[in-house]
Amino acid sequence: MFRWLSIILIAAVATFAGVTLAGTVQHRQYGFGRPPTHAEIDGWNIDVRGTDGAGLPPGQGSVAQGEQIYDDKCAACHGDFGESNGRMPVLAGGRGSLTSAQPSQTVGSYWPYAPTLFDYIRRAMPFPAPESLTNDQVYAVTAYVLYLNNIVKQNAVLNARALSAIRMPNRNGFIPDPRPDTHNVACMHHCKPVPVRITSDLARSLQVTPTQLQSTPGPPSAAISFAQVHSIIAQRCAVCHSQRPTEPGYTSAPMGVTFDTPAQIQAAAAAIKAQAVTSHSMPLGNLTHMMDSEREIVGRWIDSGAKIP
Amino acid sequence: MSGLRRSGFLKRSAAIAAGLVVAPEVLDAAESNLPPYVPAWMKVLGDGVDTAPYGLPSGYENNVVRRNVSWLTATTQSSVSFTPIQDLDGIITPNGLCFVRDHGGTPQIDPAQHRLMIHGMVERPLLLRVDELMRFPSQSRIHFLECPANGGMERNGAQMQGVQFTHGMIHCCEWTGVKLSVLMDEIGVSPRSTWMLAEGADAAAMTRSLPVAKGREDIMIAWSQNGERLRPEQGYPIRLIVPGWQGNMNVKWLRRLKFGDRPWETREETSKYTDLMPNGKARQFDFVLETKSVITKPCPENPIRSRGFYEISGFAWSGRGKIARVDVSFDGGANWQTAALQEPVLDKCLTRFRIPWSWHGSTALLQSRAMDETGYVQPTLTQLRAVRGHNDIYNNNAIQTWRVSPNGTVDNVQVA
Repeated sequence: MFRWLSIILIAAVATFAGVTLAGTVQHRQYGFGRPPTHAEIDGWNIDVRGTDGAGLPPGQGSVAQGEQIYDDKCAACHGDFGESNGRMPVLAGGRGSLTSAQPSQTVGSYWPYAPTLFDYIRRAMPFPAPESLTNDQVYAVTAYVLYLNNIVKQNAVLNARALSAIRMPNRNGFIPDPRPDTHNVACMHHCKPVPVRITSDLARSLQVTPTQLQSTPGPPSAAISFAQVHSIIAQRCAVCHSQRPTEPGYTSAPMGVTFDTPAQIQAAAAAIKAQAVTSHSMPLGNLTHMMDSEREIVGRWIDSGAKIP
Repeated sequence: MSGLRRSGFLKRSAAIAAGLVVAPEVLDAAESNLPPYVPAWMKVLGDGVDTAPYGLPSGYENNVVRRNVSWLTATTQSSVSFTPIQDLDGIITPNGLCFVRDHGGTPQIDPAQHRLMIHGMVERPLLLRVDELMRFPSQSRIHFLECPANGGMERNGAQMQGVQFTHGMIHCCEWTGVKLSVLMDEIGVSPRSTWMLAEGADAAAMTRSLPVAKGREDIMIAWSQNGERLRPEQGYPIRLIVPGWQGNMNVKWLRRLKFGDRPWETREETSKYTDLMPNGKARQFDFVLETKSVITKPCPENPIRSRGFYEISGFAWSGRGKIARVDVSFDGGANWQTAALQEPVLDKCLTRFRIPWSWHGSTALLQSRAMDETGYVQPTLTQLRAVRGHNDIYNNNAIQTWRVSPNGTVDNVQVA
């Protein structure tokens, strides 16, 4: 009787203190927030584990379906065959290049796990419209990118099981971090022969370093003439944003925004500041090579009241 | 009124007495503000205290800005801008100058519409509003934050003619937030959980896997930097701070933490932020940022203006702990002298070093070499390449060389 009572008492005390006999906390100490609902977790729980595909959703997509979506939404940046345009990431090719002087680290040559491709496309692609594809579409695009890398056949259809079963060519290409792997010693005197030989000396002459803004120091409100701004807008913006665009491929002003008159430019000052000064979203892809110094001038004109004659 | 005229008369008299041949009326604007004349801004009232409710730097400092390298990335949304470390003193980076590395642009998040979800291998999953998160016990710590690609453009030769671009993917702030260990106790993380996934609320839904052990050690969820709420480009309203480890693991705009028992192998820890070695294998999960230093005065942006006394100064840092010593060489690494360290010297934090120099107008090859409290010594580029080859763009912590020419210009060079 006494022994039973002791056990009950100990259990009661332990429960009251909120700890088990092992000492782990059994309840929330602070109590802020609330448990998420299953629906809330389901909506955000989008991660897919590369090693085994854990988290892959139901659904499926074929290489053929993927090709259509890819051509429509991906090829503009990544190229028709994953070769990429400009400095956009290359998706295909590069097998056997990892030990060369020009390694090409693509899905086919470098990525160790296929489900990671689904995870990344679903969360971050297409670059201007992430999380806009359905799960079936993501399976299809994943299948097509793997097809571009000769990893799946042209008639392949991928679902959770098929995608998890794929063994990527560079599956064993990764090793743990062995650092520290350099062992310099803090020698103080006569550590090497003098004069020390210079092995690389091109930084000044390469001229790939952005120059510092050469604007004359002065208050930000230093007067900017509208004539300066007008000529910048005409050259960098109005080639598209005009009733009659001169840029090839444009037949009308994008979004209906035109900069044909000073009043139109002034009326759009806030948008110009946001798109071309604060961010560099405009000009699109900097097609017209707007320079930082020009953005600076436009910004200062807007900051000082966006006045026109 | 007559007093004013009188003072003008006296000034003119003083100018004549000083032997100036130019009459005051034709002095240029700059000269007319110098002794013996009264500066123009002393003769009018200045701005009212309500002119700038959020203060900005002097207009004369408008050259002190972040800059990006337009040819480096395809877009400005998945890109990087660099801290102007050549213009900074001390160890704290002003919030508006902290380098920005985004993978899908900077989102403008309404904190009332933001949530932190913590789930997975935990006993009590949790959904927190930002104001609820901020009620937990807090702490403030000063840490550097560096992108592992800092110096990546220099791996195969001196390329960028400026320390802003060779070393500017770093900043150092006082972060205020809650220790992750506090939240881990609150939710009851399973003892079997060894990895966690951190996810951002940006257009890249940035995700990285982190060891739970590091979470217990010193990871925090921060809501403030340098005393004010995070800037949008630094993760407003909340971000992860992972002291001493790869910058992108410090997930900005943190919306989710999921506990698991193995890494997720996300895109950003497989295809990127891995180190390709000469044998074609790539190092993965190489989290720590090793000991590094650089001289910022002088540097290509800060040439030496005249002979005589010059105070050399720069930063040193280590992801493994405190900086123990910094040595400076004037001859490209043949001979070294130990620099003075500015207090405080903190764990995983920028440390400012200085050493006096007397420059007599001859060519010099300036280097700094840091050592941390573990005894690790910052390597030379030759040593780094001997082990890691030429294809690895990350984790370049090699000693930097600046060549000072007789005309005082400073160039980025590399030495044997």
